[in-house]
Amino acid sequence: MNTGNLAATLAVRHRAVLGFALAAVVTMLILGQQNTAYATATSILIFSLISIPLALIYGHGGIVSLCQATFAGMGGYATAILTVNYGWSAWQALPLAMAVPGVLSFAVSRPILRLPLFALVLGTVAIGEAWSFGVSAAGDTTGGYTGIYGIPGIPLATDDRQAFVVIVIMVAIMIILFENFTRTARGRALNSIRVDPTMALSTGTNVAHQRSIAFTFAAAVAGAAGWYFALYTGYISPVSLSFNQDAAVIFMVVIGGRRSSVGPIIGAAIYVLFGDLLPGGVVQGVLFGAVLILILLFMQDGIVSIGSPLIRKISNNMRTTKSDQCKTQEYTVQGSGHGDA
Amino acid sequence: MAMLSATGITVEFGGFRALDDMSLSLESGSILGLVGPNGAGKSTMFNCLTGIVRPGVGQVILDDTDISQWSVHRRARAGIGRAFQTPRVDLDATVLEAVLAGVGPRAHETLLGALLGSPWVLRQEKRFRQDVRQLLERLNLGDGRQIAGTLPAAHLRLLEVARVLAGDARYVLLDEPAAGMDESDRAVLANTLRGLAQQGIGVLIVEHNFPFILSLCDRILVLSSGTVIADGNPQEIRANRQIAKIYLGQAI
Repeated sequence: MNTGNLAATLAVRHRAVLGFALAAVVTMLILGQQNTAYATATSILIFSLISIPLALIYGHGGIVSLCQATFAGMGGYATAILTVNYGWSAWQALPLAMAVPGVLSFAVSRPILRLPLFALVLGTVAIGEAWSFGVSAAGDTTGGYTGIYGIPGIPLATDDRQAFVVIVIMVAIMIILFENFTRTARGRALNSIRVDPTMALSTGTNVAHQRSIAFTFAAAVAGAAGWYFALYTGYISPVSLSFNQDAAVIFMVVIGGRRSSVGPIIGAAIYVLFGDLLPGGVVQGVLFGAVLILILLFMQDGIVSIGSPLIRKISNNMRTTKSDQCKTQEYTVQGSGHGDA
Repeated sequence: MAMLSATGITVEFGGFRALDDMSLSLESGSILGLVGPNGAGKSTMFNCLTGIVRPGVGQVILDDTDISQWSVHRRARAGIGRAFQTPRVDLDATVLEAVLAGVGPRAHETLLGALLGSPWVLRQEKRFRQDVRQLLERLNLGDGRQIAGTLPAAHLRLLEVARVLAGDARYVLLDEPAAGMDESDRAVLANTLRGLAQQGIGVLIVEHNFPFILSLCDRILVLSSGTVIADGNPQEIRANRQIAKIYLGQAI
């Protein structure tokens, strides 16, 4: 009974990651052993890993950041420099790939997160621009405009399919962290900060500190995505993860669902798939812009909000059935008691 | 001594003196009423006690500790809970979630524990949810599944009160919680507040409904232009002719 309860609780808490794992397995069954489409699927998940933490700080914390992909770029560069220039292994580079954007974002977070919304957005854009200028001008260390080639591959993976499994695991971990965090007092505190900072303060939240922690966490996860990106493509340059991608990940979060862990994955899929299908540049920009405006006007919680009433209905049904079963059991016990007497 | 007190508080906004050498003390287990016309300084007093306003002159003392320089969130964690005049509630959340936002002062999870969903955090979370469900029942706010934005205004105020109680505050500051409430809601609120006082919680309440405040409070302060012009128990306030004339006139 107790184990049953625990399993039910965990199933509700982790239905997002279970759904994601199912989708990943189905994708692999369809694509088989070898398929060029793994590159597309992997690219969707790299963007997902960058945008899910953005959904946490934007959808829950109300922090609009236009340098989330730049933080991934920092992780990518840290990986490239350490592996290519200093001969570190990919595993050794991972902590630093997360620490570099983590430390940098923490350092700038206090002053920048105090700014009003519009200035904050401009501030984050400035971080991205400064970074991309910096790496372009840094000479041999970063390879300047041409970037760094010859980064070793994904550890443990010998083909595209195995590399896909690695990013699936990374995204799955992120989803679990997201779902756990949003169901705790800390997660709710972040939400309170977006709803009303004064209310957040008066319910015991150190607003400046919690915002800063969230911003740092998002940057560190982006760093891990950058680590994977650099290893997967074997190459990184100033334009790999820069302003265009900063804007794109915001698009993914808003389109897919800014408060959900799986919404950004849907957003990333739409962005990557339609990006491949549609003719380039201007047409894409116009179309994505239009979709973005429509979503912001009519569906503030993104595409996942279509599904959520359905999920709620199903889980309510499950709950009702379960309590009915409990009642039945009680009656049975009583009945047998009478029988014995 | 277990009390929250303010002594000699003076606050000026530009040239306007909102509080002028004002003092009050809220004892544990008592209900203190604060009345006065608009602009008398009631909300400013609340803001001084909770730390949103730092007075230029004067001290705020919590159980013998000078907390004048403490931040808002630190005071909240030390047990000062506050409901706002205009409800500050996540209107898109369910009632349960909106009240759960108030457990902050009781929560002590680490960042890692929260991210990993450690057994300790899960247990804490379960306890919080149970406590909040009990609170909702006590305040007649239903099973908590309703969206907060669909509640009538009076119930939103009750929700504010519930959120303060969810944080286990030792001193509860309520800014016009009964505004717009009907008789039955007011009765629920009054019973809850009396229950709190019996548990040893100090309740400070700002209210315009004079009969309500006279029936509820142990002591009443009457404010005007930032100073206390009368201080006493309900009988004394009722007997004070000047106060009765100015503030109660038509009300009684």
